[in-house]
Amino acid sequence: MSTTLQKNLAHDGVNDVPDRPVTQRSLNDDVLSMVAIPGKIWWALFIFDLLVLGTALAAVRNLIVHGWGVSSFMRPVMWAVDITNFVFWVGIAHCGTLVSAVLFLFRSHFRRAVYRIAEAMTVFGVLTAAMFPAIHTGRPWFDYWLFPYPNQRQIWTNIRSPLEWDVFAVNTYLTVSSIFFLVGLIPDCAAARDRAKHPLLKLVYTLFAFGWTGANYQWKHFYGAYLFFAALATPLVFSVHSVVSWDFAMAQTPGWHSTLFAPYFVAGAIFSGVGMVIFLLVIIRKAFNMQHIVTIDHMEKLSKLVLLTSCMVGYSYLTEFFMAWYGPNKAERDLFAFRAFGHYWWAFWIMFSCNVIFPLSLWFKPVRRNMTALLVLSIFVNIGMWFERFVIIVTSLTRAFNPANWFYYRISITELALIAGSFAWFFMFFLVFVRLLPAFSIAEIKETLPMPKRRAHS
Amino acid sequence: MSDSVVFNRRDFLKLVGVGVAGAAAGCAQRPAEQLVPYLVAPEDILPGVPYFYATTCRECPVGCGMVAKAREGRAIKLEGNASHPVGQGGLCARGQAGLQGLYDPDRTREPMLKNGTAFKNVSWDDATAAVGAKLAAAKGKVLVITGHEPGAFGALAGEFAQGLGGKHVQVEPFAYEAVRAANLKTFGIGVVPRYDIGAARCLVSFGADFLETFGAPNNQARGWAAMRANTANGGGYFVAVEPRLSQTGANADEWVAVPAGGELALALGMARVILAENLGAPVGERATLASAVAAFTPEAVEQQSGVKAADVTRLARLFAKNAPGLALAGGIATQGPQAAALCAAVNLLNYVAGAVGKTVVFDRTLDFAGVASFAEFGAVIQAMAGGAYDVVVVHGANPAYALPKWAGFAEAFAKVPYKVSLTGTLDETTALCDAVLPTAHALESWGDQRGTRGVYSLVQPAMKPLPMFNSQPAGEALMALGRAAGIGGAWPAAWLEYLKASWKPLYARFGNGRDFDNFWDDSLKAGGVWEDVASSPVRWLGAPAFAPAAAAAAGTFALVVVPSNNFYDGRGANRPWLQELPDMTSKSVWGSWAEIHPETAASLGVKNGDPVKVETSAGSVEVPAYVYPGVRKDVVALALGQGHTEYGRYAKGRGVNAVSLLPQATDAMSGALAYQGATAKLSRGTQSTVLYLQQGEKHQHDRGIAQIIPIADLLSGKASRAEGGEKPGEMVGHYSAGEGASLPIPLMTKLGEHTEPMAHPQGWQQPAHTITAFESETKARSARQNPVNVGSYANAKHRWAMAIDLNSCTGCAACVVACYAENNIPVVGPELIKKGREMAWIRIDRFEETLAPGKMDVRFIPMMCQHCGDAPCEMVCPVYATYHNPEGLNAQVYNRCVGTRYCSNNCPYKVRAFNWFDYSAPEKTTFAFPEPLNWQLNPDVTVRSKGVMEKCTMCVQRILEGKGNAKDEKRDVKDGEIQTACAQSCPTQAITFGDLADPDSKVHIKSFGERKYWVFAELNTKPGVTYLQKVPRDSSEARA
Repeated sequence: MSTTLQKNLAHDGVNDVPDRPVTQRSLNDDVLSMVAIPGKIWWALFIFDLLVLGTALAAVRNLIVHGWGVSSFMRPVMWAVDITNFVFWVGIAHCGTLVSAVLFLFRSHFRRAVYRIAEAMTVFGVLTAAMFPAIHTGRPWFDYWLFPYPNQRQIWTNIRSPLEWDVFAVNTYLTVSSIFFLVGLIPDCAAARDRAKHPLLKLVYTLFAFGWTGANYQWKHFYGAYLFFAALATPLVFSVHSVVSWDFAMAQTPGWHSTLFAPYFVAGAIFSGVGMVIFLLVIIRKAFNMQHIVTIDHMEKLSKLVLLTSCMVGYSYLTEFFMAWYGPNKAERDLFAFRAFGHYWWAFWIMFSCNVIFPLSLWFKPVRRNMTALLVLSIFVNIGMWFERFVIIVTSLTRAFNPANWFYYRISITELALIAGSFAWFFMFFLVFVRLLPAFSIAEIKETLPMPKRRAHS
Repeated sequence: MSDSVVFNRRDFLKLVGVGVAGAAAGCAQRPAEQLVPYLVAPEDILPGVPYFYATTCRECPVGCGMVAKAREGRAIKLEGNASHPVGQGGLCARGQAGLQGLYDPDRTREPMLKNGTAFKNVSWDDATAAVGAKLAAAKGKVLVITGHEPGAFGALAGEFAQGLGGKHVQVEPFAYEAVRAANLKTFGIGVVPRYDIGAARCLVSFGADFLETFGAPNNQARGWAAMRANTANGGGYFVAVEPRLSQTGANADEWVAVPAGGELALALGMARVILAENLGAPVGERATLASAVAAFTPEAVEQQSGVKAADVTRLARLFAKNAPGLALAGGIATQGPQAAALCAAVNLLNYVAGAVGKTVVFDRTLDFAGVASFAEFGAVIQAMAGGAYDVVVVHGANPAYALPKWAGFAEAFAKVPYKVSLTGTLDETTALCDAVLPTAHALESWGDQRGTRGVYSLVQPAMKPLPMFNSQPAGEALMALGRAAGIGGAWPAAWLEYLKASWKPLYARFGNGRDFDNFWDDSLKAGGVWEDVASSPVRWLGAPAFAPAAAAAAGTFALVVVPSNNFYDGRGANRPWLQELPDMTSKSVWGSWAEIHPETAASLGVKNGDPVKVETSAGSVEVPAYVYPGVRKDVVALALGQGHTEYGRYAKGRGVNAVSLLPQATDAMSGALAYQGATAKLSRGTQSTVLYLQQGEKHQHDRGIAQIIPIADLLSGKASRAEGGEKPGEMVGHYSAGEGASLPIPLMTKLGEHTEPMAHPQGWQQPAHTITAFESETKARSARQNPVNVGSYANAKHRWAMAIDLNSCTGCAACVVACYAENNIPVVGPELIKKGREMAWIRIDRFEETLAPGKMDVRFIPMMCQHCGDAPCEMVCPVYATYHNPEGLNAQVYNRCVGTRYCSNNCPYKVRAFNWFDYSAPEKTTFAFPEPLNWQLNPDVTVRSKGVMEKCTMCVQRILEGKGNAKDEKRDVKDGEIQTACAQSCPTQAITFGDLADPDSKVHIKSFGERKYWVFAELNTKPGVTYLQKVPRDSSEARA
């Protein structure tokens, strides 16, 4: 057992899980043991997941066949859960690229143990998010009109519309994050390929391995490509969610029309994304007994990221209120008073406590190193961030300029099905992912291990 | 290369063709519909060309002249006949919804005979024979009940009854018996006079809902607008004296909240002050009059009505000094035990103030002479109950619904062996009958209306009778019945001949040398004939004895039963447009509610929509509460018109019938049914009730949406002063929109450097589509936002725009129904309204700034797409489904709409409606136009499908039609030639539509006038709709 490893990976002073020696071989064994024929628990989860997804699909079917009237959307609240889910999942998707690309560029080595899960979460998060703009339209079968394809009617899309920017932002992000994900998988899939017994699995890994042999030139190109994609993806971390925020900021509705939105949304996205990563890691660590690979130190570093972004988000909330009070716009002032104390006060305070107050406990080291506490907090963070988008969208639309149109939105069963379905859709991918692809980067973790030596004469 | 597969171009194309054909055939979901052209074109039908038929509205006894627009042989729109003296071009919401009476899917389809308890369809011949036999057998014991029929049909019904030795009785619930009785007593002429409101300089309404149902509302609304427009000499003060602030009263400057029945004391007190201070015109009967009112000193009035003695004096002086004044009483909202006494008191007030003959004019009076009084009809009911009639024929009357139970109609009717209903709909009375003969709607049949003195209006069919209803005109059916019963030998063969014969005397007077056919055709074209009638001179004959109203017992509430602006007495209840049209007081739809004061609500522990039980000695109902500061604390108000047990799918089982609460009481002097005067007990209800409110908040939160300018400011030249509500401190700044004038910025900040005036090069011309009244033409927000004067938009000639004068808007909502009719707007029903899925393109927002007795401030503002120059919706649509057209319209392309709904979210006015469901697909349960309501759809306007956004188009189809007509005639479009449906229908002409680019157009002049403002101007949307501020009056300044 190496001291480097102990220093880099396995030091664990709080948790009583014993260190296990990690060697090149044991790492391969441990990570690839996750890639196995699923057991009963997995199947139970997967079937439950599909059932929930089926319910949501029934709701989507109703939305398409009968129209969005089956939801409880209305004038003035013409967006609610649909766009809330969209922004929520895009936000979730932001952490992966942050962890894999930005932290890669900053040489923050703790990322190595966690980035694969974060990246998978990114890709699946974007896939989930992209569903919502697609199904939320009144006539989803014409969604392709949002793409600027050449047509004989010579109608182009309106490039001034923030929704059009979304089309490009989300698609770019999906493309880049998927490529980044797949590139990172190549060496590990090669390892899995070499061990796979089942011919079908072998074929899958062969495909994902892109002919990887571990040759020196391949490693050279691999790291070149990885750096290149990291550099390409980094600006996207900031641009995509800025664009998403402009869906609101570019509109003049009080509560939306604010220059603060881009940084505010990016911070919130990273906040919720890291929260989701922590949630997933805590569970996977426990379920697959991976405490020696993803250590308490790693988790603590992630929770510091949560603390940082929580403060940024909290600052943004307060700034919004300050600007509403300080600024001249009465509609804005009324709206923020309504947001905190009006009809949806509970949603606002769920958001505020989950996103600002509860994460303050992370200032304390024991909390940062307590997996139960982190699990609970990560759930709170995600509840809070879902409600943040709900609060922004619904409270602002409820009380726009014309008081004659101030009506209150009440969530209906259809929207609840959509929310549940979005999680089911995401976890469907994720469940398949943990059983099919290496959930931890063997190649990158190995970089931290001492070089294997020939065994000395005993 | 191998050429084993030779695949030349032709083979390829063949294969592709086969493949495509196969795919197409396989995918075809619906059988191909064939378009078959006319082989022989029917007369009077040119596809795409509308025909207009002048006819007369039969929705209420007033009989406004109207024009029915028919396309391809179907009547699709009703509009006021501008040249007709009744209505003067305005047509109220009820009148326009008459179209849905024609296309009512619940109309009776076949003649029916009752077989046991169920109706059985029979042929007309069988039905006529069966009923004829009964009639012949019942000679001498036949009763004919009709509605108010001032014309040939009434005469025919009379002859029919006479021929059978029976009796003809006309029943009309709102026949204003009290007004007529009072006029008979005081002036010796028992009619409803014409009120020349336009000439009045001070108007005091004692509970008369003259803008809703009382009198001739369209004419009165026009007069009211004229009165309010007269700002020059400080006139036009309007006081509403009523316990419950009606929609009419909401337009007043002052609300005197007398207790129910307290109006009488105030009217007499005012008259006494005028007499005592000798303020009025000199009258000969001074001594008699003075003695009649001697007891009503201001102090006594204060004691009886709670109106302060000083206020009595102030109101009296105000009224007398602003001569000619006009005091109004009558209407159902004051028809209590002292109804006629109140009318007599108001007559006295008018008389001493010199208003009679000036503003109360007995020329074109409303004639209800043929209508049986409540007492007379009571006697008929008695006779029926006593077995005096063997056969009763009912047409156009629904006493089983309109009369309270204690009147005994249903019991007496049940005792009649054979009852026949000539009817369009299966209403409550018809359901009790033994034979039902479906009659044609007024828009399918001939007739006339002579309800107004000196006006003889014709009713002509605008289309062939609808094929799905096996109906006959009522006259035709009645004549057939008569012949089957062996009478009517003198009648001509057809009803039309009878009608023409009855017009022979008019031909003698109005013929002017034409032959009869020419006279007839000319009269049809004009909608009738009319003459100026001299005003009958009246003088005071004598007052009844006035007694103060009995004080209500403590702990009880006065029940105020108000007529419905939507349903009248209930006859409009099966018109979905009217059900969906919000009541302009509560903004509630599709149901009943009880209006209670906030303090009452608090003491009962109820909120809006919670059930309250209203209990009188006659019965009790449970309805949702509507908490309304516009009722007194001791008053509970319910509207008439709902609570049908029959009548059709839209009316049946909806709300409660307030008539069921009326205890046995009549007006002491006239014998009219007392709708008022009942005391009620209120308690929290137990049923679950829903109040379907169409408007969110009724306070505008200083948003400056509906703005006012106090008349003092207007007169002193401080027009367009910043106005944003009660707190001027909210306004941070404003910017200049021209010399001496500044724009009101209610919400926002001063503008930045990019809002400075823009310099244009020599010869620069404003592109038409960018012209806006929002800023003067030489200014623009920034250089970039005015597109260059090139491109496909450069040659546009027009900038369509609208100016809406809030000083004329009464909130009558005729425009809303006009828009529904013109633009194929689906009716979505109460549940979806509750959910916020109203589809109306124009709505009337009601804002209650201050609503308490005394000075009050309620504002109505029609709100529709503002056609912004810089539209927030256009910017955010990703697919250009909404875009700016060259003529300044904010166009919505339904075909292109994907339904992201972003446009609505970004619309500050919230005037876009989304098709949440498929309202246009017949196979869906959400279908909004069940056959034959779909026959009414305007072929010029797309019926929108599921998932697309829609909104006001400024009736772009009418614009295109107008432009097309002008082009055909090789001329420019004339101002006023193109009218949107809302502008056309407005009884007060508050809405002006036209071309803003034409500096001489009415809309241009109004849009650049001194009262102009834009809603949310601070958002810089540059609306194409300019509002003109309302001018509330101040009582101190209203003095001469």
